[in-house]
Formats: sequence, C-alpha cells, structure tokens
Amino acid sequence: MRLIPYIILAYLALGLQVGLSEYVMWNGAKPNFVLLAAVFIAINAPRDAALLGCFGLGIVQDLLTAQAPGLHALSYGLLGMMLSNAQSAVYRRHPLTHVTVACLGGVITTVILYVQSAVWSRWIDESTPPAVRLSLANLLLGIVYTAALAPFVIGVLQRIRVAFSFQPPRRGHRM
Amino acid sequence: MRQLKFHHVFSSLMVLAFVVAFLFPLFSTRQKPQLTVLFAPVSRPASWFGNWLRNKFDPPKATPDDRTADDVRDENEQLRIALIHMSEQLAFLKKINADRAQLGSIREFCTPVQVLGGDASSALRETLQLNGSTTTSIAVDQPVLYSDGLAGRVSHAGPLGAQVRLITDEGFRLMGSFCRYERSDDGGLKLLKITTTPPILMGIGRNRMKVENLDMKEIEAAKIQIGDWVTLDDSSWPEQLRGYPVGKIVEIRPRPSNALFAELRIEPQGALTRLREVMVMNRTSQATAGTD
Repeated sequence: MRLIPYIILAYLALGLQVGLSEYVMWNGAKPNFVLLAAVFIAINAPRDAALLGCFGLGIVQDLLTAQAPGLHALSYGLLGMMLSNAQSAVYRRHPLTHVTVACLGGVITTVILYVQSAVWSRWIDESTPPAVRLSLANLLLGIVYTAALAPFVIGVLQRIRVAFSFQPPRRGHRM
Repeated sequence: MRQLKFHHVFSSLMVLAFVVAFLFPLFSTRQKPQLTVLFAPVSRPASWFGNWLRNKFDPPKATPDDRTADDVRDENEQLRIALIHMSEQLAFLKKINADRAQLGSIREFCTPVQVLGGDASSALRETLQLNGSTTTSIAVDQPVLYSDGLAGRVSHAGPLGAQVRLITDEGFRLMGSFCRYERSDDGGLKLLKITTTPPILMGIGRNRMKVENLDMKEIEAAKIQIGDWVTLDDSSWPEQLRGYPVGKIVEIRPRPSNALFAELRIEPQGALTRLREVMVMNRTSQATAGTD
C-alpha cells in the first residue's frame, strides 16, 4: 500500500470528522468518517498494512477526542484483524458488504467505548472526562448512521483504490 | 536470536492501547497531545460548509416568546436605561476603588479564538477543537465564553492545538444561582436574584444541563419558573465571572426516581457545539496575557 495516498485519506477523514460531524448530527448521532476509512483500508490492503493502517487511524482519532487515548486504536485494530482475515470471503465492491462491515466496525467501537466508560464511571467520579458514562442509544444510532453512509463513501473510495496500489508495487513507498 | 516479527509488534501495540485506555485512562488523558491545528486546512472549510448546510436545511429555531412587540420594545428601552445607569455606576466604582478595576468588561480578559470543529469521536462528547495552542497563551482550565454566556473550560492545550470541554458535556459540573428580570414598582426592570439552595448544574449532552439537588417544595416556594436565568456562582471559577449567564430553564418537572425532588433542564442561549468563535479568558489583568 502506498503511504502518501493513505496519509491523504487519513487527513481528509480526520479533518472531516472534526469539522463536519457536529453539523450533520442526526437525533444525537454522529457519523464516523474515520471508521469508514478504516473499513476501506481493512477490506483492501494486504494484511500487515491493513492492521497498521487501521491502528494508525485510530490512534490519531484518539488524539482529537475527549475520550481516553487507545480506545479507537484498539477498536480499529480489532476490526483490521477481523476483516483482513476475511478478505478472501468478502465481495469488496458490493454496497451490502460496505454496510455490513461498517456495522461490524461500529459495533466493535461501540462495545469498547461503552465498556470502558461503564467500568470507569463505577470507579471514579463521572464528571472526570475518561469516566463519563456514554449513551448506548446514541452510540447505536451512530452505527446506523455510519452504515447508511458506507455505500456512498466506500463506493467512491473503491473507484479510486488504484491510487493506493494495494497490491505490493515493485517500486515506490510501501507500508 | 529470535527474530522480531510483524505480529509481535502489532500485538504489543494492541496491548499498549488496551493498557492505556482501560488501566490508566486518567493519566493518559491528561498527557494526551493535541493535534487540532494540523487538521485546520480540512476541518475549517468542512465546518464552514457544515454550518452553511445546517442553516440552509435546519435553521436555528427562535425560543418561543409570547410577548408582544410593544412589550419587547418597552423592555428593551428599560434595559438600555438600566445599562447606562449601571455603566455609570461601574465607572464611578472603578474610580473610587482601584482594586475593583478588574471588574471591567470580561472581554478585556479574553482572546478570541476560532473553533475548528467538534469532538472527533462518535461517542457524543461535547467538546470544541480550537485553532489556538499554548503558544497563544491558552492553558488548561481557562474559562471559555461566547457572546451569550459561558461555554466551558479548556480541557487540553498543547503546542499543536487546544480542546474545550463544554458545560453541556456529560458529567460537567458547576454551581449556579437563579435570577430573573422583574418589573419594579416604578415600572422599570430590575434583576432579581432568587435565593435557593445553590443548584448544582450537570451537563447531560445534546446542549442541555440539569439540576437535581432541589426539592419541589423549594422550587414552588422560590417561584422558579421556565425562562428564569441560571448564572455562574462557583468559587472554582474566576471571580470576574460570578453572575455570568449559563443558560435558561426550559423544563421543570418532578424527578422520575423521586417525585419529591425536582429536575430542571437548562439550555444555553446558543448551540455550543456549533460555535464558530469563542473567547478564551487567558488574561489575569487587562494589560498582561498569560495563565492564571
């Protein structure tokens, strides 16, 4: 996988997540553009690149939230592990695949975010940022919202996947 | 020597992420660097576009108001007079008491900072990412204001960005007091402070806060009603902000778990997560900029 297109994709996804997600909120649910980018990488890139790519997206997203760092990195890392193992069984271009894998990614992220907040809100004062108890309903609605966007976003990314050179090239940057 | 393989490195990263997120979240959250400014070239136009889109398809709704235009005009006139009167009084107080010179306009203690966007997580945390950093004298715990009241507090600040935790973020707590404008005997308007047990405001997300520590009897006795103002009355905030508006009461009802206690819902005047610019109170005096 080429490094420069990956960095551009990550930059755009994270920039959109910070700048746009508050304005396109629906009933308290926000779309997760970074998750969609992670899904795209996970279903296309070779195993090692997919794992590192997903983890990298998560770690930078962690630095732009009020949550404890490591939560998104762990979630997307797990997603990368699951999807890169199932790549041969996945029809990458089908919209239904995009919806399903986005749902899977959303569920993994939600479980990790929710469990962490539920555990820590029992131990320390809920007003402390990493211990804030999250609303499960909003998180679940966020999965639906992100999954609904998946065919469009991942569909567009699939059309330009050549730029990422997911099959290892003979020359150029590799990850 | 045993060769280091990719899966060893990746497993170590995953274990590290788990440890940092689940075992040491307090420490890691405090030490987290801010990278907000790096994403400004994308997040700023995206935020502008999102704001335009939102205003086009879902413009902000005005607060329901059943007053007639004449009443509003009359009240406006009275407030102008009251403001002039108070400004004169303040100027006089400044002259006679040098120690109180700091009671000047709060704006003088603040630096305007552009907002780049909201929280990047899907976890619905209410934070703002600022286009400012420690290099522009922004530091953790500085109060953040906007044109209609209090917005929050700086929760993280680094050389590459800063983050504000909004007062409506889940779990955010502050102490306040109630007040309302009432007509005085001479037909003018006066600000009436309502004395109650100090209400503890707690953020509950989606641009709302709640108060749960007052009982229904006290609410009725103090005649607290929808539309009353809640102002800051908290010793952990700078003295200059005492009495600064936090929001308005939008709902009063018995608490579902205990009907003897009241649950008050409070909303800020504006949608805090969609602010385009905020004022960071990063000056201790009108002349010097720096941290407290």
